[in-house]
Amino acid sequence: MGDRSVTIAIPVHNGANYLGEAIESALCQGHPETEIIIVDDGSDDDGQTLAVARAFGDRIRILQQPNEGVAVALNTALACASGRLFSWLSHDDLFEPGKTERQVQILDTLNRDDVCLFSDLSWIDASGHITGEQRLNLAMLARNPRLAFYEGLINGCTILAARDLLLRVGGFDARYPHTQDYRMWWRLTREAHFVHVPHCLLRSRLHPDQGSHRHDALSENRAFWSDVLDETSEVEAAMVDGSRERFLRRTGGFLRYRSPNRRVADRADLTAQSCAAEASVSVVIDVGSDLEAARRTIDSVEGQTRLPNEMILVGDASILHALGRDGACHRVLRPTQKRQIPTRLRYGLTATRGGYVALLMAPDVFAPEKIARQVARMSALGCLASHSSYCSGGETVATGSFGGRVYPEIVGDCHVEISTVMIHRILFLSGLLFMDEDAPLASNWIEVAARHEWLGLEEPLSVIEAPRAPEEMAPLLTWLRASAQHRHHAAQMGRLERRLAGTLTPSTHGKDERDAGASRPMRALAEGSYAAA
Amino acid sequence: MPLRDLLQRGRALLTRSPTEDEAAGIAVTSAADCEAIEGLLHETQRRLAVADQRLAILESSNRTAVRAVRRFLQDRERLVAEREAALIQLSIAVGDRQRTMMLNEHLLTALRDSEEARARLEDEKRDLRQQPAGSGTPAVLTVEAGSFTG
Repeated sequence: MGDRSVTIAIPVHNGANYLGEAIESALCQGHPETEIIIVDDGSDDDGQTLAVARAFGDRIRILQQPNEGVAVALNTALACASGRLFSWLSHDDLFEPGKTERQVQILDTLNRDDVCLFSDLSWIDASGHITGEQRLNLAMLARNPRLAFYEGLINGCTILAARDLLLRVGGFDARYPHTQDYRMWWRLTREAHFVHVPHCLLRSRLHPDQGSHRHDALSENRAFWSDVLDETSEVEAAMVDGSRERFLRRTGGFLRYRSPNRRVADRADLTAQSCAAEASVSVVIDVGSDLEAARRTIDSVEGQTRLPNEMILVGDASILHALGRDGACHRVLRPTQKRQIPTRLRYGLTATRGGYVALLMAPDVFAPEKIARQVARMSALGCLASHSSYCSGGETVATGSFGGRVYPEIVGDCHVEISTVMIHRILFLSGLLFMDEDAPLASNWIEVAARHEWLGLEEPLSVIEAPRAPEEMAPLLTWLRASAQHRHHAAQMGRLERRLAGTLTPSTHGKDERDAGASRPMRALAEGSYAAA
Repeated sequence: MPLRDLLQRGRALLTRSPTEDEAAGIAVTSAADCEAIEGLLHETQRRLAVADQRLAILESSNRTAVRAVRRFLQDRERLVAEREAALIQLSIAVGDRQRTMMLNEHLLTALRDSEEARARLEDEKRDLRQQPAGSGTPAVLTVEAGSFTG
């Protein structure tokens, strides 16, 4: 068989009632290079199942094994298959005509061996009548592909994947006779891509004899979802739902309402309640050049109502040495001679372990409630980036009302101050922050806004000695003009130009504030930041 | 008309059999009636022609409409297929980005671990250097000798 060859494996145990239909539906696939393997998993029905299979002659291959379960039967088929691609059909289900051709065509187009296709399906009753359909949201799954696994949307008999891929992730785990498929999808979710094909390619039969309804199957299912809750990392949870808390709440909802796992759902909800308090937090501090100011900055972190798990101190070696490693929370020293702030922050961020990372530039300081409040809000809402209002020169600068989907408005009015920012670490892991050492800081906040929501906290949670946003307008404008992605937002660019002119000639402030493109809160923000400046 | 003829016509009307003059093809319809019938026939033919023409127009426009609908459906199918292909590509791109994040996570963890190990080694090295020259050396030599002879 060539590269487009497909093996359809049909494991069966005492399945004479439906096996013939299943084999017929596999034989009806028009794909020319198709091999059909029936694995008789120790049927003890006086040869009825084998008789059904043998009636198809040499059009199918029949393998026999002692009764060891579906996982072992599928592994037997994987080991003996000659097709490069592999699909699985339960003996009581039916492939729709054209399933294999359609999926092979998609895999051909993608030309990758790390893709596992799955599809929509229709439900049939014991007599084969269609009783309903499961059609999934293609756009939602394209933007959040891991949801397919975490929402239990993958039916094993709709898949088509490279056989080598399934073998590479270890095949089906024989220790789990009822959840071997979902344990395989879990590994595949981490090692490969699940891609949804938006067509009903399978008729899945619901009937009273199904093994999945038995007590031992339900208890194994509970154990599986408990493992999923425990072993999904903070980063993985944030990829799917923005935070571990949101992940647990959504998974809890799924387990409660769409699966027979209420006990695990209760555990998910309970764990979610303490998620924010238990989330790991790092603070990256650029210590600057003034030792005393750096001490005040660090003191403000060590005086938090909720201490971070670690502080990453970045700066000159002499200052770091003077600050030392000892303190109320774990300190990591990252000496550098680099002067560019993005480079220093990047250097600090590479050392962080926390799920949430607060950024702080000496001589700015945190309000005592800063970490507790910001983490709690980000965790509850599943936001990956947040900032807050701040105090400067004895006044409150109400930048915290600037939040939500702020792109492209942020191009013209970026009021995010570095010492008010807290991010989820996956933003840094995605390569979105501080990769260009010459770009202004605001460019990073714009890049974030183009892809994610900004959470704004209205309470002032930082004290900033000298806001950097007004100083950054000129370099930001230069950066935006060179940016193919952002420069076409002419109205916002124009507003930034006028604001820049306004800072140079105070008489133009009124014009800027009357700017038709600026919303009322934005004008308030602009007034606030000028007052602060 | 003679009485005999009149009676014959009356009988014919009652029995629906033609009279002799009718059977002989003698015209009994008046010229006015004939003209009226001709007019009716003409009008009917004219209206039939108009109806045929309208039908032809309708058939033609229907064919055009059917062709247009078919073309729209084909375009729509193509667009749906393109959207599906684009969403599949998006799914792959998002998946790639997420796997890159996980890879970065593993790399940074390994980097942090190695840096911590290096920092520990440097601390130990500094501690060893700070010890008096005579106190630590014999133990090190003993270990080295043991490792070579054992």
